[in-house]
Amino acid sequence: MNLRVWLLLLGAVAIMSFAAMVLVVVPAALLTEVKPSPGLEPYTASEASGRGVYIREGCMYCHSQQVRDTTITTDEARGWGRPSVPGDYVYDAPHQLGTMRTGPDLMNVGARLPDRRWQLLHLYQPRAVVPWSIMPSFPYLFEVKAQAGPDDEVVTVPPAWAPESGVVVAGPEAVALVDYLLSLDHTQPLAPTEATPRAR
Amino acid sequence: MPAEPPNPPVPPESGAPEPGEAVGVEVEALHRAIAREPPEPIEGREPAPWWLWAAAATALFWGGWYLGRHGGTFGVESHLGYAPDEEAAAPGAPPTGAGPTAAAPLSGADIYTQRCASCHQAGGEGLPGVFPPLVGSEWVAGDPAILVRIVLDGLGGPITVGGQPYDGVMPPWRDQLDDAAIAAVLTHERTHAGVDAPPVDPALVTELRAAGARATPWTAAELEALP
Amino acid sequence: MTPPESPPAGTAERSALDFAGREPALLCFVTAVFWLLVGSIFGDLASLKFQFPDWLADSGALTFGRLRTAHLNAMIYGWSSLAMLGVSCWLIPRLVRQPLAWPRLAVGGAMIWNIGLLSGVPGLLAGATDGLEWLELDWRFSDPWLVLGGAMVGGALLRTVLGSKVEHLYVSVWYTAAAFVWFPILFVIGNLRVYTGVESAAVNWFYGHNALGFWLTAINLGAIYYLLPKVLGRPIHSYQLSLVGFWAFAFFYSLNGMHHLVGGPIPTWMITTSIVASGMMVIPVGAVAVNHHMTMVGRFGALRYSPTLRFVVLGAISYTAVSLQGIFTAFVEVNRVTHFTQWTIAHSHVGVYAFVTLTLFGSIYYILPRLVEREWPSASLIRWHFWLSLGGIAAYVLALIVGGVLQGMALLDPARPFEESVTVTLPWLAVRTVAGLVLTAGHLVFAWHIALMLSRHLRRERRLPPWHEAQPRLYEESG
Repeated sequence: MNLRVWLLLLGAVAIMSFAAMVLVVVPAALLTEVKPSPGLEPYTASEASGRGVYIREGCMYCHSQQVRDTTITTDEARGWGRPSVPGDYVYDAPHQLGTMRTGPDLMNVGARLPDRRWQLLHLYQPRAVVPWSIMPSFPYLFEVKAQAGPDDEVVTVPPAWAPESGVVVAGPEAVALVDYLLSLDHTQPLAPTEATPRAR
Repeated sequence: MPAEPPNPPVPPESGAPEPGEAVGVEVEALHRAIAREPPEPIEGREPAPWWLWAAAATALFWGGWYLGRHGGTFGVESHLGYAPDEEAAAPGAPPTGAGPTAAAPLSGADIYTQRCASCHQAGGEGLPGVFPPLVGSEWVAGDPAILVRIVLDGLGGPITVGGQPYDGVMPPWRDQLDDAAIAAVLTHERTHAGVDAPPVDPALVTELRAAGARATPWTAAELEALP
Repeated sequence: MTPPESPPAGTAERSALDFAGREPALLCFVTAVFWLLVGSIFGDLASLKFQFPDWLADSGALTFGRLRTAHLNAMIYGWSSLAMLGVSCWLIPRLVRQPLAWPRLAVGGAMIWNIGLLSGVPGLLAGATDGLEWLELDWRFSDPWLVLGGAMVGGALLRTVLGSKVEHLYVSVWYTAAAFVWFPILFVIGNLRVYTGVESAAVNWFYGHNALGFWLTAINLGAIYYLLPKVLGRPIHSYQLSLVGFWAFAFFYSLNGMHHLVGGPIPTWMITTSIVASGMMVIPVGAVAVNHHMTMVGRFGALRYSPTLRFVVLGAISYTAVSLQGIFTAFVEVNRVTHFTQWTIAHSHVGVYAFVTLTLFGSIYYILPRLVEREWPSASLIRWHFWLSLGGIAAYVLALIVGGVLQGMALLDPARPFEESVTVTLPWLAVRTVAGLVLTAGHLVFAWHIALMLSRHLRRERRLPPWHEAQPRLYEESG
């Protein structure tokens, strides 16, 4: 056995353990004390399954879910809400903070665009409501039926984008996804004790 | 370290020679392939340049300062430590809301593009059967007090605009737009694309805002029942 | 700090060392190239979606979010990781002068790794994702295979290293051997399903950043440290710089991850720690850059004669470039503009393509002839591959850097509607699509060339010496 090899490998493990201690273990211990932000509720069954659709379709790769620090960005001035804090995410696993804003931030999309029919139509064909959008359309989350059933959520599609015949009806996954999107509302102000101290 | 080599010969640039050309030298060729490799690499003994050590020392010094200046507290609070110096010097200063790069107030048209156009569309024409139009709407050209209430607290449920029924939800803008912005965007809607109604006075917004936030959006029926 | 020297390996010994790792290395290279082609197709389709968002929209499997994920995972865990396993199976035995231990285990491990990908990548298209960037492969039917396969190949390689007969460990050993203890630790930490809320985000980027650093970067730096002096036939410049470069890299890089969340909702001290550690990266990056540059100095002419050297030198330069860009991006003053924009995509491609992939191309050009004892059939195919790769990646990166900055400036100005941040990027995204297609063309040339070479190998055609390699007569003439 070669002593140098052992020194190398043990040194490598020691450094990685130190980093994991600093950035994984200690934060995990600290973050156990985080309480949900005011007004934040656990997801309902439908919202949770909609969140699954959000994850499955990879919405995260174009949409962030975090309003950044007001002192270095203009997220808040853009109307995306107050800066996000750890308490906003206590029910999220896995997180969907995102790293891209090819599309707008969705942290508060439920407050910003609360109309179900906007959300459904926008998922069916984004360009029907936002002409310059480059978001994918998700027609496979919808059904085209000759006639809507009694419990069906019908999507009113402008003629330019409508199928030649029949009506567009939201599928169960589209309904769940919209439930989830509408639940994204972290606009309640933080209580003073929980609010971010501006400086120390 | 091997001696400095002479200029290497230019190797052939095309593919393999014709088959048969080198018959009989296969074994030799094979061994030459390996033999021609330079020896296994070793490490020289040059010291690191002095300026690299100087740069490293500077970087470490900077790192310590930066950690102290921007490190925040050792807890779970986020968004500490990056406030500008004057704000740090006055703890408890209220958030500006617009950040360090707060721009000049936006025009009514700008606010419309950013906040309203996703539903009511770029030209205010709405989307038939889904989102009511603003251009040509009797509500937009009508009582400014009702318009201001809609923008402040939102609108939900059935409503008839231009003879067409609609049934959607409009969000409240009370916390997102100030009085001047609401007056500006409404004035814009009332004075463009052929609509010709009097401008909206920010004082009216101030007055109606003072009535306090509603728990639910307005309905058309409630608004029509107002005195 | 002078390295003790071991007597150089003789040619017969070297050929025996190459031979023992031949089967796992070949298997890894061939399957890696398969995943390179698969990943290229996914990447091109995903990029085209920016120009044609309604194209192929009727199928969930071909929606952007799934194609992009399949592209990333095919490229990282398929192409890069497998090619790196192949390089390691060839390089480590040479470095420690021990034939690869348990070669059958390594072959089995490479097969099992591929099984994990063959179930995981189509699974991503079918919608089975763990929902964390860089960790998407399914934890039920993909991750366990990767862990098992990786452990088998890694076990064989670590066993080889532990049996080292050399007194002095050359710098490449540090990087490659350490990578095989770092990556398993990281992969397991990252894939544990116990994190919620912002802790999930922190662990996600602890893993994501370190997978780049302690897996992709480590192995490829090891390869560069070997191939540069090897092809040039001169020692690496400075042992001292190698030492500083390695340990400072390990210490500071491992603390970098949270700079992916600058301004975000995680405790400030974590973000600041990572920003500081990112700044400290100037120390190892400077040391490695000086070391590589001083090794090259005066020998740039050799680039004309060795395709390996061309690719590897570009890879080494890109390592410095991507590191400096990363340091720069970590500072809040830059990050507030570039975060969430196409700049990030440009950055990741400087890292994973211009550094990692070009280095792997160079390595394969060097290694494969020695494994199959047969020369590359065509010099012009190598030239085509080189120029397509170089042109493609240069256009790709420049387009997205410009597009990203324009996008970031638009996003940062609340007076400009969001629409502008989309429309300003569109021409640059179109350039990116073209660049991506150029890269794919290069990959097809590369794959075709390998197929040509292996088919001749299998048909036992006449063998030729590797005259594409640098300064072919160098060793003979200098004694």
